[in-house]
Amino acid sequence: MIAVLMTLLACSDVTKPGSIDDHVHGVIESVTLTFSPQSGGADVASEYHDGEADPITLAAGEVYDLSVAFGDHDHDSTGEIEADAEEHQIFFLGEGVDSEATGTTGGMLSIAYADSDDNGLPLGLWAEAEATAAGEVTLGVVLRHLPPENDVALKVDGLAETVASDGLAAIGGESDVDVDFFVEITE
Amino acid sequence: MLLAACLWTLSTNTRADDNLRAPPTLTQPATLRYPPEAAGATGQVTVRVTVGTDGLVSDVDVLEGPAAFYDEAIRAGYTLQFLPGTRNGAPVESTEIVYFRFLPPQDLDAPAQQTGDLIIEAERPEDRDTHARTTLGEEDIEDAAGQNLAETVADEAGVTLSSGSSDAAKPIIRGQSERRLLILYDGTRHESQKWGPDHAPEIDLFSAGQVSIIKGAAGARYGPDAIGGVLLVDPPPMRIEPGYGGKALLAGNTNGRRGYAALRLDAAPEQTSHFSYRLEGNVSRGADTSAPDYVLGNTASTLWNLGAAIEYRHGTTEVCLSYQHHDFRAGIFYGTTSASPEEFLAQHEAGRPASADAWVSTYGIDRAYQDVTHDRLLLHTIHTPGAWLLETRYAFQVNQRQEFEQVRQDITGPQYDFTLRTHSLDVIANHAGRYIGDAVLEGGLGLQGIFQENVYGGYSLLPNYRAFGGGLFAFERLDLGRGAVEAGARYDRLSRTAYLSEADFESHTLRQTLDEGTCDVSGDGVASCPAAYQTGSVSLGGLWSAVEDTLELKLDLSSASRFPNADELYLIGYAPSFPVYALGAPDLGAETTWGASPTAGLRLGSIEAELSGYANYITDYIYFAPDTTDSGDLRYEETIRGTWPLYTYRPLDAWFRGADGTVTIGAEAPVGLRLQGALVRATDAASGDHLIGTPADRARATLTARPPEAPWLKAPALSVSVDAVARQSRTDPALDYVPAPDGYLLLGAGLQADVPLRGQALRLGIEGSNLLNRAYRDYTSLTRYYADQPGRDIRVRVGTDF
Repeated sequence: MIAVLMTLLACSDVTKPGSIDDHVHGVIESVTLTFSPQSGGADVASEYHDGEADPITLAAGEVYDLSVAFGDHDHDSTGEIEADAEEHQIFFLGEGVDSEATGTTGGMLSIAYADSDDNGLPLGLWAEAEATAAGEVTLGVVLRHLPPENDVALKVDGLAETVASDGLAAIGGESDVDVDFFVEITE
Repeated sequence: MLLAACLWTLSTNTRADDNLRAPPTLTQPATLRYPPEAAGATGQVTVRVTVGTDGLVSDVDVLEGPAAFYDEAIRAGYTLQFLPGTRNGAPVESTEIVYFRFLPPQDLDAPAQQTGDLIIEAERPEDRDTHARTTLGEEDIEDAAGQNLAETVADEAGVTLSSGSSDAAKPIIRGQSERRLLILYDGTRHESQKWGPDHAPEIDLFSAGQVSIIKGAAGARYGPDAIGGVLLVDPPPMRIEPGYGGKALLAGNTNGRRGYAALRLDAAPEQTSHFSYRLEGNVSRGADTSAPDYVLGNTASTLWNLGAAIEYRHGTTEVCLSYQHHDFRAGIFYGTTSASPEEFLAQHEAGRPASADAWVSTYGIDRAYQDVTHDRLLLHTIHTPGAWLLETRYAFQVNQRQEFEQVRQDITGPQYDFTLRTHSLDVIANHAGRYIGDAVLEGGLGLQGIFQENVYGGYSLLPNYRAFGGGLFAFERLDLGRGAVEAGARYDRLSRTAYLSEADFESHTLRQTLDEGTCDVSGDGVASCPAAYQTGSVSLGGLWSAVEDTLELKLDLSSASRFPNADELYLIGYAPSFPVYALGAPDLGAETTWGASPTAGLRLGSIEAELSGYANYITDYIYFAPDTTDSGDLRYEETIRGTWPLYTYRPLDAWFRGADGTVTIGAEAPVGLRLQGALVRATDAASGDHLIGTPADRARATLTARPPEAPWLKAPALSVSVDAVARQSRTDPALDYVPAPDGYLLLGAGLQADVPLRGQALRLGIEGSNLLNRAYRDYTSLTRYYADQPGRDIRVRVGTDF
């Protein structure tokens, strides 16, 4: 009788987990950095996935166009970031990395924003990276989601400088990505 | 006419400090005649009698009970005589609730002189219960108008609350949070997603006529989960007297500019004399609340409830069908972003949330927010054939919880979507009181069945599951006049099959948290993982009136068990609203508490006191805490969002010990004082380490003045209260991100009075909390990591019955 009752009451959606996941796209699972030498030559790329990324080897004295791409489990989600550029910013961090978000100079790798959103604020999907000296650096890449609060934009001018002076906690929002890449710069 | 043995009882249903008048004292009890048309049935009838200044009963209203006994209960009610109730020594008209219990005569055909004994006993639930227990009546509930269940019960000694990152809170009884509390609404287990810190119980307090707080394990009587205690929420009785009536309430808060309106309509039309009807609803909307120094951004919320009930009574049968809908939407505090642990520490260090200056208080709700609904359909029948009272309850509950995270703009749906469907059936058979010499034996047995399905969609977090459970219990109580003993036993079983998606199953097997052999993997990759649990619980309790009407002693020895929840078994992912990565443990078993709790109650002149202690040993207590390596170092999880601390569920044996109590001096005097306090000590039995999340020591003092009445102002009362909460010094700093917050003192004040209006009273109240607008953080509140608790709040309410 219990079996009959359970059959009557049971609904089939229980045995199909994950059947209503249509609205959870956008969980970033991978980050790809691609360094294209401005002087020509082969691209240097590395994908972070499942906690691992191949080391990146750059040549000292070379200037690279750096592109940052994101992917979720089955497609490229870089376009979603681009579409929501006014709510996102990428920060380049790490010791030996000179960027607006580190505020340092004299490091081995210098990275500058090369794109901007509709408000003219930096985004970071494109950057210019210059390998200035030989050595090893750990390049931190943070994708920050900065949705407005009380209709007030969190993404404002000078965020990278605030990160440099007061840290990420001072700018609000959440990190969708916070990963490190090992970069070796050779002579 | 046959005469029957009868028990009659008297109740004062309010808390001592709210008792503005001395209740009437019974001088002449009634003799009940057993109505032949009741045909051997046993029944209890609740009536409200109005006692005039002459001590005579001027009105009797039947509130509840089998219809066969109404006429006799009304007749007997008019024959009661009292010393009138007083206020400041002067006799006043007052009402009392009286219970008549009808027992069939030993022999229905016996001669009339076989009247049996007349036994007088206090029927206050807290006086009968061998547990420490407090009952809030309708007036107390109205005092709390606009507040939620947790805030309302947290006024009692030994009860605190834990608030999450939204305008929602959960009760904590004797250190045990909602997971280890059982909430019974109208006798039915309230089934909901109660595991997350932001998952408040979906209970509509306005629909309650009475809330009983049972402190301590009560598994044998109430079933699994009743480890820390039980909250019994019961709707007021349906209207029986022909006619129409109802209740209206309006309330408002300054902090969050919240408005609240509630209405209840009760009808018992003369034309359909066997039926009663009820329709009720309430709505509340609040803007973002504010801490003393800044707005708590995105803490606005809206809430509405709707309920309807129809009751049919005939002879010894009662059938009630009710439906309730609860709808709650609340923003999640902007400051609770699950940013990386380093940032979390940095912003805690800063003392205020990063973008606090930009926040303004509005009624708008932004992402992230939660949208929760709960529906309950309940069919309740009471049938009293002969010497038994048979009660059945079938309930169907659906709890849907959707959580909307911060996402990219093209995504509109929720990121966490839970639906919990529960069918439950309870059958209880109570046998009538039987005389054993001078003692009366009462008791019964019951059967409980539950079928539950959970469907989850969204970010990797929880599996779906289907569960089938059942319980069997029996209890007996022997009333000895000056005391009573109670015993109960219960057996419960639960079998549950979890359905894990391919990805979740892989994550678990990769981490070796789930043994592949225990699950069946179907063709589409779904793993079904069955598990079964069984537990037994027992209880033995006694109460003894050591000095009649002065000193009452209680002792409760109880056990209770809890089956592990699906999140404790299978959780995998970022913990909601908390910067940790959490992992379930699929091999966890049921936890069981063994507790002893003595309680002493004293009534001496104008002093009333209750002190209760407890020691509970919980085996396989499921503890959620940071995971450590064998060498004691904290473990971390490398994720794409950074390095996160790893939290796991693991079993340990735990001690929960403590005491709580209340002393009231001059409950009815022009000036009265009430003191209450509570201590909880929770330790790992093996290591002696203190467990995290235990409420800090606390005390409250309330001074109440009751000035003389005026013709236009009845029962005025003015109170000032101070809450003192110590810093929780008993924590392991290695197991928490930040030190426990400092202790604090809060000042509150209240003013209440009734204004007579066309034969009815308009009940008015104004209550201020945190009047000095002090910035403080509470150890059991999730908000403590991010921001201060709300600042000053003034709540105003007005209510009337009609």
